[in-house]
Amino acid sequence: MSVGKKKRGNYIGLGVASVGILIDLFYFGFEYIELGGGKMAEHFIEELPEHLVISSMIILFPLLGYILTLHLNQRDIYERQLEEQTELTSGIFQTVGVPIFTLNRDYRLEDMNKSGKELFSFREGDGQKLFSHPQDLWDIVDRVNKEGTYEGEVYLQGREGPIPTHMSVRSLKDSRGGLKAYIFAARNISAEKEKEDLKKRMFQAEKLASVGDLAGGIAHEINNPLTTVSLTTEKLMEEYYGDDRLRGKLQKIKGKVDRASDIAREMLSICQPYKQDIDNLQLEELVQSALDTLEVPEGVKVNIDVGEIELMADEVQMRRVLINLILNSIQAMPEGGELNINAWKMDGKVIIEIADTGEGISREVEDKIFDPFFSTREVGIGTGLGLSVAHSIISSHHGKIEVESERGKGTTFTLTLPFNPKEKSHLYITKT
Amino acid sequence: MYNILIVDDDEEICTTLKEIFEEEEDYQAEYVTSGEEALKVMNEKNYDVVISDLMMPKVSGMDLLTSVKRNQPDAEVVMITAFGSVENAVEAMKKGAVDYIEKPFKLSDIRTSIKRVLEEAKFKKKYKVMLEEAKDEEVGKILKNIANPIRRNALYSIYNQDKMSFTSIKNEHQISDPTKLSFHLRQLKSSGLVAQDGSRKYYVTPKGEKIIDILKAFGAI
Repeated sequence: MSVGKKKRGNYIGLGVASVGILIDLFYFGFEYIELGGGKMAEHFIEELPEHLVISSMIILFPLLGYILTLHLNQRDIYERQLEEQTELTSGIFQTVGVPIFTLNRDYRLEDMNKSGKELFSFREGDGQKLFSHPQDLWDIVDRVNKEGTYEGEVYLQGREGPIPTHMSVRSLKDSRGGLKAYIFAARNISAEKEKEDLKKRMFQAEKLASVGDLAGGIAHEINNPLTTVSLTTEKLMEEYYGDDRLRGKLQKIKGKVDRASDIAREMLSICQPYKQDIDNLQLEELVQSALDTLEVPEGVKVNIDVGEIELMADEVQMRRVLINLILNSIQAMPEGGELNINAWKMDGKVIIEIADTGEGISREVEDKIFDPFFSTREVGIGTGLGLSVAHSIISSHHGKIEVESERGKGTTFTLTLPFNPKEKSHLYITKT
Repeated sequence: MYNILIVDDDEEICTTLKEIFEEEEDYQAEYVTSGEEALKVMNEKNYDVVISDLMMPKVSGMDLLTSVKRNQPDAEVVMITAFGSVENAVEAMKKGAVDYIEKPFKLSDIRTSIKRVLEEAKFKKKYKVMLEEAKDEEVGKILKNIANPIRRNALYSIYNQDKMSFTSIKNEHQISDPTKLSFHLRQLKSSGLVAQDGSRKYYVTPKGEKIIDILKAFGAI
C-alpha cells in the first residue's frame, strides 16, 4: 500500500510536468501547421511576451511537478508513520495486561481494551456504573480537571463484585485544546490486597494469641479471689440490709467487682483454646437471642434482614460475637440511629453485616480496633476486649471479620464464615 | 437434711460456699480442697449434692464426676467452671452433671442452682421405684430426663401455650444463660417429648403429652 502511494506522488508530479510540455507542443504545433516553418520565427518575435510565457511552461510545469512529487511523497511518509504509530498504540492498548478505558466528555464509555473487557461486564453507557462508589468518578474528574492527572486506589465493579484497582487517569485534549476524553488505566490489585490482608490478619491473630495467653493466665488467677469477694460482699449486703450507709458502700464494692469480673470473662474469652460445639444454627434465632441480652436504647431502630439462613457454628461463641458487635454499634450511636443486620449466602459462605449509622471511626482506629484493650470509649465504658473476642472467635471458625467505616456516616462490620467451619478453606487462617 | 460436698482447690471459695449453705436450715455442708480428698470422703459418706470445680490439678472435676456417677449414682453433681469453658461444662452435663455455674458467680446463681438440683433429687427420690421399675428402658430414660426442673417446667409451659419460641421460653423461665436452656431443650427433643416446626417453634409431641398426663396424675406438675 505504501509503495502504491509513493508511486501516486510520482505519477501526479510527472502528470503536472507533462501538462506544460503538452500545452507547448499543442500551441507551437498549431502555429507550425497554420503558418509554416518560415513564418514561425517571425511570428514568435511579433508576439514575443505571449510566446515567452508559453515557452516558460516547459520549465515551470516540470518544476511544479517536481515540487508536487516531493510534497506528496513526504505526506505519504507522514501518513505511513502515523498509521504505524496508530497501529502500535492500538496494539499496546489491546495487548497490555492493564485494563484501560476511555470516557468521553459526557462520561460515557468510549473504548475499552481486552483486559478491561475480561474484568468488567460493563460495555456501554454511563461510565459511573463502572465505579463501586459512583462518587469516586466525580472526585477523580475533579482532580484531573484541576491537576491534569490522578493516581490512586479505586474500587471498580467487576463481573463478580468490587475489584480494588490502582488507577491512573489523565485527560485527552483535541487540537484546539478542548477536552476530548478521559483515559483510565486501572491495574487490578486484588491479589496484592489479599496478600496484604492475609499478612495483616496473621499478624493480628499472632498478636491476639500472645496477648490472649497472657490475659487468660491472669484472668484464671484472679477469678477465684473475685468469686470470694463477690460472694462475701453480697452476703454482707444481705446481713446489713437495714444499714443504708454500709449497704451503699458495699454496693460500690460490688459494682467494681462486677466490672472486674466482666474484664476477667472477656480476657478468658480471647485466650481459650476454642473447643467448639458445632451445631446447625438458625441465624435469625441467634440474632434475636443476642438482642434479647442487650438493652437497645429507644433511639436506636433495629432492622433485621437475615432471611432463613442457617450456619454451622458454635452457638455460645457465635452469640457472643453478635452481642459484642451489636453492643459496639449501639455505643457508637449515643444520639440514636439505625442498626442494620443483614445476611446472605455466597459461594458456600455466609456473610453477616452489622452496620450502624453512628459517628464512624478513622483509618488509624480501624487498624487497631481488634487489638485487646484498645478502646475509644471513655474509661469505664466497655472493657476494650469485645472486638478482640469477636475476632478470636471468628478466626477459630475459619472466618474473617472486617470493618469499614466512614466518619460521620457509620461503621459496618462484615463477617465472612464458611458454611461449615470443619471444611477448612485455605483463605482463612487458623488460630494455633 | 441434705448433705452437700464442696470441692474446690481455692479454700476461701469453699468456706464462703459452706457459710452460704449453712444458713439454710436443712443444708449440711462440708468441703475438701482436692479431687483426691473428695474421692476419699465419698467412700465413707453419701452426699445428696457434690459441687465441684472443673479445673483442679490431678483429679479434675470431670474425673470426679465419672467416679461419682459410678459409685454414688444418687448424688447430683454441679460443676463450677471458669467463664469461657462452658463447652467443658456442657460436656460434663452430657456425662451426668445436673447443672453448672460460671466463675465468678453471684449469690443468687448458686442458690438457684442448688434449689433446682435438690428439686430434681427430690423428684428422683419420690419416683425412684418407678424409675427403677420401669421395664421399658426408654420410659426410664424419659423419666430421668424430666426429673430436671428446667426441662419439666419448659415442657409444661410449651404444652400450655401450644407453641413457643426459644426466646419466649427463655424469658418465661428467666434463664439468663441461653446455652443452658439450649442444652435442656435439646435433651427434651432427643427423647422425643418436644419437636420444632418450620418456624423453629417448639411444640409438645403426642409422646410428650402422654408424659404430661402421667406427671399430672402423680401430682408432679
